[in-house]
Amino acid sequence: MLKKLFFTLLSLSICLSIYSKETPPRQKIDVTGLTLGGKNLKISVDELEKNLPLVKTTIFDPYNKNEKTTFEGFYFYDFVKKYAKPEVKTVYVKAIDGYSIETPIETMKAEKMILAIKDQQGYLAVNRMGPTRVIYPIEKMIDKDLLLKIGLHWVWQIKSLEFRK
Amino acid sequence: MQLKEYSQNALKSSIRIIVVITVLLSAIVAFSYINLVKNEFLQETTYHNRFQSRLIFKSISGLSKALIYLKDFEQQKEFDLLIEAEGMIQSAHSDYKIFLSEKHIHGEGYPLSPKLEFTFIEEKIAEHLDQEKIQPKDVSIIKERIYSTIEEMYAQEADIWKSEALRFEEIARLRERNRMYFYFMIVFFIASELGLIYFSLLRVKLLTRIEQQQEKLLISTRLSTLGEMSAEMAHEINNPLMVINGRIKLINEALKKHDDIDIEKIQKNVEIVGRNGERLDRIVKNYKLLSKNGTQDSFEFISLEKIFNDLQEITERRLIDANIQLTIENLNSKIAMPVKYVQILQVFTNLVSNSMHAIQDLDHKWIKINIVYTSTDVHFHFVDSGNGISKDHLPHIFNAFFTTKSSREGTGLGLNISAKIIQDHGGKIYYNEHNPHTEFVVILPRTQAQYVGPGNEIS
Repeated sequence: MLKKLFFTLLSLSICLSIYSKETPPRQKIDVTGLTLGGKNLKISVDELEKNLPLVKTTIFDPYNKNEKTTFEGFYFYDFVKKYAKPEVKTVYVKAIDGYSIETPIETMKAEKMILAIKDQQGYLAVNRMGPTRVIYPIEKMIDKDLLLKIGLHWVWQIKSLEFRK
Repeated sequence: MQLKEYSQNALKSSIRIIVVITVLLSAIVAFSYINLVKNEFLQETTYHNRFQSRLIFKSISGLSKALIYLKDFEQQKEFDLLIEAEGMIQSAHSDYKIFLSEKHIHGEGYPLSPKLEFTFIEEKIAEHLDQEKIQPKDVSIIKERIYSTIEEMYAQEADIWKSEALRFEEIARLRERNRMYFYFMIVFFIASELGLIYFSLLRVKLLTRIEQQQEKLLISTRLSTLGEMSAEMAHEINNPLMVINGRIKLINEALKKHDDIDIEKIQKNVEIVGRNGERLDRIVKNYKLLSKNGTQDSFEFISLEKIFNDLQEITERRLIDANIQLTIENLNSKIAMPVKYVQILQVFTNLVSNSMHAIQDLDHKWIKINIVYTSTDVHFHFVDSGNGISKDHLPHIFNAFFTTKSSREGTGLGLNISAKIIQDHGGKIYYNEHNPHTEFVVILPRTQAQYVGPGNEIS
């Protein structure tokens, strides 16, 4: 009787784990370049959750029909402070589909850029622009002119982050 | 064709040409606009096609990378490689979903094919990955799906490319057409401007010529009238001169009889000489008046009495010679009219002269001038014993050069000029068809007419 219950619970938990949106994405982020330890890293989302303070922000997502979305993540600058050497000046961000952009540290600090890992629906899987994406914590609707200026840095489906001088 | 008619025809022609050019230009502009809109639509469609094509290629690229990871996994058995492959498939799925939404936005509903649906059900892969129990055959199945998905996507992309190629051709044709319309527009614009300038200059030229001709005609009329008048004047002067000469002779002969001078007779002859001298004076004054150019005169108040007295004096001799009776009815001597005196006298003299000429061969010869007063105008009815003007001639009687007299007798300008003078006075002149006799009516406004009492000086 107990064995049956155990296996039922096990299969249920497996099913739940499959369909649960609370499961962080399996994809990891490659961290290369001037890392603190001098070695290349492969960091998962749950590892980031453990090591960095979580922040929340609500924006009108310009890449999702301006839908009001509450994101959770970390300040990009906090990420750089945690994993990069002090002399790092820029971060080369590359996405799964090959898109890449170099983001200066100063811009990150000034704009308070966030690496988002969750929204109200749960963890951001790759098909929902995860495992992590860059967002700006702008509370109002972003107009076309502003988006033209800052849109380059809104990288989603981030695959790797390279620390550069 | 008269100059004025020519000018009017030229104006009508220029208006017609301008209307035609305007219509053509409007049509060209309309076609150009339609082409522009088509062009914009095609360009927008091209942009979207290219964007969709890019999305498909991104998706294919993601799937191709996933294949590489799966092949590496088959060799190296490293679980992380499966995770990378999963990420690539999800990224490809995400791009393909954007492609579908793009197509949907532009009215091309494109359902996700069952094959692609199957490939992208990452739950299947997730199930295997969670259990870390993926089998080689599972990897082969996934790879097969990816291969067929890529094939299908290439086919879709080829469709887009084909429609794009067709559009290129259409765009090229439209561009050519637009260029042609543009050149036409320029040509028509220049042609219409030149046409406008040409006809404007032509009109100015013609109007100037018309004015010059009218001036010449006025002068020639006056000269021919003067010519007529000088013959008449010579005739009129002749009579009193003969009388004066005759009486001077008698006085001379009487004075020669030193002893038997009849003072009474001499006095009587002197009186006759004096009267005829005054008559001569009046004749010369009247002809001087008629020969004057009154166009530059200003309006002044002249009593009706003076006007008609002078009229009778001017026409008296000819009326007597022609045995025509002239009567003036309802003349109110207390009324003064604001007129250009010389011109009005010329008009009235012309009307009487025309009547005299028309009835000279009739048995019953008379001319009546009946004056009718209303609150706003004074109507002068010039009626003669003639039988009226023929209906064929009626539309032309006020036209310049129209005359029923021979070229020696008249230039046909009298009524034309009379009409202009009356128009200048704010009045009207017309022929009354309802009178069995010949009747011309002159209407002059009495807006400034005023009564004149005794003691008031009239200039």
